Amino acid sequence: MTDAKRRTSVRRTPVALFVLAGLGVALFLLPIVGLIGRTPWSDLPSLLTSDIVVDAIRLSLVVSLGATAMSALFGLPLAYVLARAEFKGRTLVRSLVLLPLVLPPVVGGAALLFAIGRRGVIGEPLYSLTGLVLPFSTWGVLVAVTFVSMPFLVITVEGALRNMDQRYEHAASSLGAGAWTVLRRVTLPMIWPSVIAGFALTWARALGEFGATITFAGNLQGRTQTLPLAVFVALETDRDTAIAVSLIMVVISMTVLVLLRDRWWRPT
Amino acid sequence: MIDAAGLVADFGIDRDEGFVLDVSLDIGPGRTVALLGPNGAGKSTVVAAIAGLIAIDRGSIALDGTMLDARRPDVFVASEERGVGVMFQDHLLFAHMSVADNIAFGLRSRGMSADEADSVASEWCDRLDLSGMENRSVRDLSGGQAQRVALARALATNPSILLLDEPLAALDVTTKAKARRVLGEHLDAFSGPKLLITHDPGEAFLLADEVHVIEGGKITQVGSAEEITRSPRTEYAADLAGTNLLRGEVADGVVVVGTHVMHVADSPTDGPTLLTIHPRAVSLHRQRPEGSPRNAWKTTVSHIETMADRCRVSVDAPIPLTSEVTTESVSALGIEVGSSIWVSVKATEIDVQRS
Repeated sequence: MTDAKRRTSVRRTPVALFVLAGLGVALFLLPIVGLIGRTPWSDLPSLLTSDIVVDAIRLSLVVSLGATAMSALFGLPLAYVLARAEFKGRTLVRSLVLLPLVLPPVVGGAALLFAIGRRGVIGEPLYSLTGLVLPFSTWGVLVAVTFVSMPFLVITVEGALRNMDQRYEHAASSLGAGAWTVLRRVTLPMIWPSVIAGFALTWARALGEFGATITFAGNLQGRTQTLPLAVFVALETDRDTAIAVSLIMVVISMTVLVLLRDRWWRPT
Repeated sequence: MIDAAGLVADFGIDRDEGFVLDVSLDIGPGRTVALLGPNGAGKSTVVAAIAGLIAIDRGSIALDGTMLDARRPDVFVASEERGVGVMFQDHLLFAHMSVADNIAFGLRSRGMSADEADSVASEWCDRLDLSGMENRSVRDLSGGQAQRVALARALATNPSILLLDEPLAALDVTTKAKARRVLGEHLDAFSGPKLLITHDPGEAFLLADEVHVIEGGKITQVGSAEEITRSPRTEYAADLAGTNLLRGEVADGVVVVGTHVMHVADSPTDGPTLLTIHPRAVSLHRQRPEGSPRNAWKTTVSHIETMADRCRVSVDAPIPLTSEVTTESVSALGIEVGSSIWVSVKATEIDVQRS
């Protein structure tokens, strides 16, 4: 922004709005400041290498990346179908897909337990047929985390597909490209920035998932205890560890958001 | 089966908004038909139907004896199997690919190896004055270059028909003349049927063998450019015909029309040209206009035609022109048939096309 431009924009914005906006920013900033102020910097290396923390970091990475991969496998096709296919009940399906965004994660976890828990509607026959028990296992964490985070990928990519100029796909078909070639060589490359943004948001949400995980998969160190769960436990017993782990999560989240800022605000 | 070579299409499409399209087109091999009409007339829908991007509701479309789309018996050949070459409005080049990859896209999609497709793309670059730009991103191209890439991409697959949807609309005035000439040359060299969609009468008249006027989804007149100009059948065609088309000769940067010298904005190459001047670009004055525009002369009103709140005022020698002005200015200027009047035309309002 040039100096002249900045001066005009400042002059045209009412002061009251600046004050209220500043209070809004303070609400976001203060917790971070509090966290940093309480961080035991000198103990940080040892706190972050304790068994609990290392296990939680490893599990969080595996589960968040796994959930992102699951979202890619099922969420990308789902986004495409929602954006392009005409079928009855599409609005209903879309609402269903977005439900985890508004549903309290604890409720989601409980619902998963009733459905695919050991005594669940599907969980019981699944167990008697295969011996697979999802709750209180790492696979269970993966299911719970995917449930909560996949909608981010679906809405981001579906929006991009809807905004995209479909005439480019028409041009590709007229040139002799079949449906898969169009998808691979035209559609995906054109919406790629949004796909990346969707992946990042999905991954960030997966990393921070708490409610559905603890409800459905419990809180077992090394098996289902992810970083947010470790923070929750440590708050009761070992405040310094809780602060250290929280700090890592803030750093990771901020990094993702900063890397994404252009893509998220300007959907292609 | 329809045995005729070229395009034989007679079809209808009903769109949701109550728009009904019904057209009949018969384009022999090597012939160029222009579909000339205002925005919203259904021109692009015709292209989409022939290209297989939308299905028709009635009738049939056949190309070189092969049925592409018909309701009875039910036939629909997918777009990618039709062998159509389309130059889309706004070109629709793939922005994430290089020039060569855009041109090679159709060949690669049909299973040609990357090396082979690259060498064909490279030949097309040479043919269209794009040599050395193979690896350039299409984002960095000028309007004229992008238009040539779009043409090369459409032609590279060796299609059986060429569909051109407003191929020159995305270009600015200065590059249009050259782009039109290049397009004309390649249209001449293409042996299949060609359909040109345009709203520019000059373009239709210069590039096509036959003009179909389309309005509100119906073809309202078919004929040569001269026939449509001579006896327009609808108000729209009359408006097109009312566009001043002047034949002239370029010499030393100016255009000589009859005995009169016209100044134009760009400097065209010497030779015969077609000048297009919209009636609203012709101004009328009681006295010699101020600021002395270069194209101003005194003449006599030969005809006045009133249509609602506007009037078409025609003048005669040295250059027959029609001007469209408001009814108020006609009375303010005190114009009637036989009165003396000054006429002026801005050089920038004259469209020059090599003929």
